[in-house]
Amino acid sequence: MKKRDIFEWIRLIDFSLIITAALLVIFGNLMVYSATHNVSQGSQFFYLKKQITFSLIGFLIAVCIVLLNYNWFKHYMMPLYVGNIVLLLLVLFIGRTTYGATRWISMGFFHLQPSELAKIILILTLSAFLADKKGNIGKISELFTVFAYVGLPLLLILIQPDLGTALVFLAIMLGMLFISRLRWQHALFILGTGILVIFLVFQFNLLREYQINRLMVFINPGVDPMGAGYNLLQSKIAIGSGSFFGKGLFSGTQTSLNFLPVRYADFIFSVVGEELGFLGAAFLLGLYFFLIYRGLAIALSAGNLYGTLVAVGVSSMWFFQIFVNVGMTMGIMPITGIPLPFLSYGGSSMLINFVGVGLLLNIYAHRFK
Amino acid sequence: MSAKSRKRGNARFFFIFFTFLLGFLAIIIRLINVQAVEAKRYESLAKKQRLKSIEIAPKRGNIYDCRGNILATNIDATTVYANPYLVRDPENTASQLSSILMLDEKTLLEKLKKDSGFVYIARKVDESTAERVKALKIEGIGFLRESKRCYPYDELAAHTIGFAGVDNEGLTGLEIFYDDVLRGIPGHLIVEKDPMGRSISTGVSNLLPSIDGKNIDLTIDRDLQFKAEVELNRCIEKFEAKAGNVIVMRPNTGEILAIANYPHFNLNEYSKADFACFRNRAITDSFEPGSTIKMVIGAAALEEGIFQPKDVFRLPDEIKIADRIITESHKRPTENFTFTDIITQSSNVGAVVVGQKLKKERICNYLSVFGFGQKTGVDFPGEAQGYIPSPEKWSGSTIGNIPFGQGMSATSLQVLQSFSIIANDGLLVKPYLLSRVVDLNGKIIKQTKPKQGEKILSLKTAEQMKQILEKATIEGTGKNAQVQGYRVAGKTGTSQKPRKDGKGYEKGKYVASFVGFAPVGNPQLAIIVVIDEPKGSIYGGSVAAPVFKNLAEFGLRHLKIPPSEN
Repeated sequence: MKKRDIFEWIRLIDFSLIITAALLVIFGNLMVYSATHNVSQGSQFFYLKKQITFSLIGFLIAVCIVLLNYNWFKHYMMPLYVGNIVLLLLVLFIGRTTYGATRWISMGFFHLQPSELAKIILILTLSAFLADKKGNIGKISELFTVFAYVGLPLLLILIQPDLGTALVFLAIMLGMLFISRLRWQHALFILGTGILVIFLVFQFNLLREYQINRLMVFINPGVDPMGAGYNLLQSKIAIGSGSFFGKGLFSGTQTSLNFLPVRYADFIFSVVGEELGFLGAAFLLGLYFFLIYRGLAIALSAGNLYGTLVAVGVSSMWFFQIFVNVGMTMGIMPITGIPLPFLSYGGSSMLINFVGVGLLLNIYAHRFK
Repeated sequence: MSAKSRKRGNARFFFIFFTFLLGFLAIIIRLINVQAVEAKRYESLAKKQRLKSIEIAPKRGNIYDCRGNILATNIDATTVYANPYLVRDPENTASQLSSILMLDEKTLLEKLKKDSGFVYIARKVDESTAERVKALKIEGIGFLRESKRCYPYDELAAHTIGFAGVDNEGLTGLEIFYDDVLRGIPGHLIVEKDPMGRSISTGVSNLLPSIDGKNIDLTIDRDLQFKAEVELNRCIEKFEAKAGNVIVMRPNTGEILAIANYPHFNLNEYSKADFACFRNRAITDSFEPGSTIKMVIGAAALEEGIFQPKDVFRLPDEIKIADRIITESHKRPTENFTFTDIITQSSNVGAVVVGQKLKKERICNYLSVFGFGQKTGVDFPGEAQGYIPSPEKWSGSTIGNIPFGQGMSATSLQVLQSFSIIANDGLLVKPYLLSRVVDLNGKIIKQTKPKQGEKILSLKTAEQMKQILEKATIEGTGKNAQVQGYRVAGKTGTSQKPRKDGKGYEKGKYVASFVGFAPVGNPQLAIIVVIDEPKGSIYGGSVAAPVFKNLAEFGLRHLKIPPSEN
């Protein structure tokens, strides 16, 4: 290989994105360990080992994806879409039920969460769908086909029920539609429909009791401090008591004393806030912001519309998840079970975030075509 | 894409970028709010839920009588509690516990299903019951050693001692009056706890030991108290009376040796008793004292030099005052009475005649000087002050009322205090119940020293009245009060009970009383006996005086007072 070739190769790699993602993964594994090292049952490394395993598998998958050409996914749009639907149907029939929701398919050593996978597949397939329309969805009828296209998997996820992931779907769709030159009138129409749907949901009591409770808590956090409001209050206590410098890694009292439920999953940010304080939390948010900034930058520089849409989809997904998850730990968003990318414990989530990074790197590498 | 549409596309990217930026800003602002602005509040909340302060109860002080007999103390008891989080089978546990502890199964089940880490199952049960619960070895059921207030003599001096509640806090009587002294200061053990409320052995802990309460010695004499109660109960039974009370006091110091009340109750089972039984009526209830007040009127007339004991009055069988006719309790023709006879024979007409000479201002003044219409200041909660109408409130008929103790009210203790002035050569002493406060090392912290009494009457008047009162027990209405071998003095009282609506008196309802002291030469005991609504006989001389006699007889021997030389 000539010296020039090596230079060309280096130009194809977005090192800043790789470093950011690597820092986030290391950060996440540390926090998962801190949140779980003194759980009463099992080894103190039980959760960490699993998380590291998924990080490594994720890394390998990301490498595989980088080596492919992302445009390859565009050609397999239909099989991907159908496969996704089948998987989501499958989970409803043979899925594993925990906490009243059927979200997992047992695959031996790990439980696959098809709704996580569905997010990435949605991004890949919807990008192909929109790219075919050449980034122009001028007619309202076309908009409705998009809704139907997204609506089918979304409905299957709502049945599980998994409101959080369903909302992520909407965020992804909105981001991608917007870049596809969604008309302002149509945007207003979507907004109006959204309000109407929310109204109807309340009118016909379509929410489950725990969801109503969570919303009530969001509106008035003090309503039931030992019941529905417990998680939020404990989370705020953890973050607030962390103050500027935090209590030190592995030294969070609220965290280690089990006051904070499932802190290693949805409430991992509370652990960051408590143990690393404002400094640590702000550093983490900085990493996230840079990650998303890179995502948008890559979208802007993508070699084709498909790449642009995929990159915007991935960025929208991350942004929405970060904003809702972090917001929820501090009471500015209602509590919905949305994991924090790269930090929350969980295999499926970790894998698809690596897929996202792999896709972005791939789009970046192919930006000159 | 054309250059134009590319440009428009860029605008949309910037829009998305700024949306994301705003989102991050919102989160950062919220983060600053939570971690800086409100950090202190959350930090204290964190501490509050993490640190638990366990109160270590101090031992409540004992109460002794004047001879060191224990009237109130503490015994070890076991409290059964549960941690509902750890109870595996609440239904079964509830049924097992309810049969041993005699508690309602439903309430127990409710407690065991509570979302809490601690509930009391039964406070302070006895050792054998606790052992039976322990033998079940149920997970989540725990035991605490606690001390339980115990009164060895059950009913003895119940009204005066009072009782302490389940948390060892004084609730009535001296238990509440001296609660500060008896209670002690609780200690605190601060421990770090987990969300289940369990303390963490390796966590921070900080011990502040408790300080036990101090012991108190009372002026009460157990044996005299017992005798007083026996005699009172016997009298109440005999005359089917509604209520009654007795006070025994040392007239020269004010030490109260006994206070008996009927109806009575058992201190160890106070929760089973009627609330009305708790009243120490001798101190907290006032009544129209009746003829015992003639002593005050007589003493006032002597002190003022209006009459001499031998002065003779020709008294009609009745006397008209305003619209009312005052009669004697025993009908008699118009007769000659000496001043002494008026008191010894308890003549209402005579008392009114003397009262008319004294006039209302001086009567009120003397009643007040003798301690009526104001609290004696005894160390007991809820003392009544009684009532004497001030001169400007007197109606035309009041002068036909007050001189023989109607139309005013007083407590038994006030009447007894006023007679002690005569026994004590004209000096008024204040009655009291607490003799000493002793700390745990046996050091006396506080001792009540009887004060030199306040001079109320001249020695001469006191002596004259003493003789008159002695004569009342020799040849007057109080003959039944005589004690073999001792000279006693005293006065009977038989008063009508005012109607509840304030209009006149209840027909056929009387309060019979006797108040006196012995031995006359050197009075060591002053005793008042008040019997409410006796049936059969109604007079102080026939109902109350015998109680005085029995009690004085016992008391004088018990205190080893040599018989009087005649």
